[in-house]
Amino acid sequence: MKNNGFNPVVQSIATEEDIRINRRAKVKSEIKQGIAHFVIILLMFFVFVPIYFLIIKSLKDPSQEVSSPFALTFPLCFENYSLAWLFVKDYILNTVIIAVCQTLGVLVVCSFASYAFVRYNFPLKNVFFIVILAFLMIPGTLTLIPQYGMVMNTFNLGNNYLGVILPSIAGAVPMGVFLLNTFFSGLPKDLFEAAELDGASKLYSYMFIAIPLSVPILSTLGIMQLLSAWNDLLWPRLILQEEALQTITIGLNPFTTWYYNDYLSLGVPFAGYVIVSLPLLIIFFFASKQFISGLTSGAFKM
Amino acid sequence: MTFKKRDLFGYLWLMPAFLLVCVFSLYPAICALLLSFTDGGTANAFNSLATNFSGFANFGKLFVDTVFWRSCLNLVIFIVTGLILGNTAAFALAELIHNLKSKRCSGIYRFIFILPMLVPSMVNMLIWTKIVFSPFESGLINTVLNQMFGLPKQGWYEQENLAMLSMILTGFPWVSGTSFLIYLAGLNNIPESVYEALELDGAGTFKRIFYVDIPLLQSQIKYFLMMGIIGGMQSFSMQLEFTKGGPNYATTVPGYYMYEKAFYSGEFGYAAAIGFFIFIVTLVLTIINNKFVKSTEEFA
Repeated sequence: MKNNGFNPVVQSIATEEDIRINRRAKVKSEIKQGIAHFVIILLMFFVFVPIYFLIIKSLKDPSQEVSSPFALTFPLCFENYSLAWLFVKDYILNTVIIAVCQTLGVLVVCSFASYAFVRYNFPLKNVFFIVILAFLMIPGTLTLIPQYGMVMNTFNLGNNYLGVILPSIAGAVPMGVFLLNTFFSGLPKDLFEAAELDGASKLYSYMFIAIPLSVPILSTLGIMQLLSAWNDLLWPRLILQEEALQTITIGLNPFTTWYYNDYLSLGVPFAGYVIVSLPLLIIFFFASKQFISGLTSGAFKM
Repeated sequence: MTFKKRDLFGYLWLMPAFLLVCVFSLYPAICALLLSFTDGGTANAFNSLATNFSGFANFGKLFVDTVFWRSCLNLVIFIVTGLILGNTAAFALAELIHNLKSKRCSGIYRFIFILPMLVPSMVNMLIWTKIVFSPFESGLINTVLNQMFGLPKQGWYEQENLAMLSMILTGFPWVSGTSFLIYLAGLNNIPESVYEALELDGAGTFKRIFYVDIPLLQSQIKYFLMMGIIGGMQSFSMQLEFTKGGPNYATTVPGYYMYEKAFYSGEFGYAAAIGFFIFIVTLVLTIINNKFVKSTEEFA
């Protein structure tokens, strides 16, 4: 592969030596590829340890847990799943409402704000931007106590979905604005200018240019938000004291402790967690392409 | 500088985000700042300020609190090891996937490596504490060490000399999640011409990684450094779920110490002072990072 392209005569006379070197290079690169695949698969094996345990433990009854804790045991104990379903089913609707509202809220609020930062030039723009980003650095625990007092007493949102949803959206604004801002800045300006020359309003360009072009980063942000809403424990547990309003994560947490202390096994709780993760898995399966392309779009950099 | 009248509509777009942040983040943060100047037992900033104003006493106490300094030292260890291990692993995986010839395999690997994201954090915590690093003889690591080397069982998270090591090892091999994709994005952005030039020079893999890839990934490295420091400074979920900061404060960090002060002993003022200390240090580190770590220069 040395640069002999300039001299066609030399190139055409491929000596046996050249062929041998070529072949050796090919074998060498194939070995390299093989090693790469091997290392990747080895890593994958370790990464999948939690998923492996989650699934096999969810199929064990307490006695199988004692006899062989690390391997799949037969008969598979599907009873865990039916028991877990009875426990989990009342919480599903609550969780879905909270997670979906929170995710949509973050997407709308953050994309509005980022659109303002990228497409408008108003006084104190940079100050607003920096103030919003500075909130990334304020520890959540610090604001937890005053926030709790405010939500419960001033707004009277205890045992109300809004008491969970609104503060969570506010908490996600800094990161969301940061990501969308980077992405929106990368969209071609000419498109917006051309649309405006044609008389399109800013709202029109937002809905029909900015949003459709930003589907990848929006799905990245959306999925991250959905996961964190789904798994959030601390704040929802403080706000939603009434059991009929609680989310799956709040419900499964004390149940797991109780079950583990009684049976020294994680069978039913893990079956519950598998059921809980299934909707996420399905969404992820359909959105993963956009999710990955959002992550690899280059918005994650400084 | 002049502004067009229609530009003021920008405020309208900004309004929902700004209002939410003001109400649910800014106002509580101000309350917390006020609280840090009180030694009252109540969590209501304005009441405490009127009755229990104590000036800078909380901050003075902070500087002579040995537990607090121990927690700072622990934090430095956690952040430094976390940044090094996490970034090296993610970068290595990104390099491996980037250099695969088969596009199909690389697509499949990308998908598979982010799947563990879906495992709820509570499950991860249960798997590490109750199965992998379980303090009982039946724990995974205890079983392996016993059968291979005949070592006695260890308490891992519950043993003072091993607790920190166990926490650092938690999450091995530190690649699941999304960070490798972000490095991969950076690698994909490097123009083909750079690689062609390298090949002509006959540069090997190591030369390529250290002289080309890493310098060209400055923007991503800076992002991870920034987010690692911001997130690391305030994180305490592992302490909360794994060790309760113990044993004997071996794994406590300022974030957890603050949580403990606020929710277990009710010292809201002192907790708020710790929180502000964390915020100020984070801010300073972020500014330093922003000033001195370079971003990648754009290609022409």
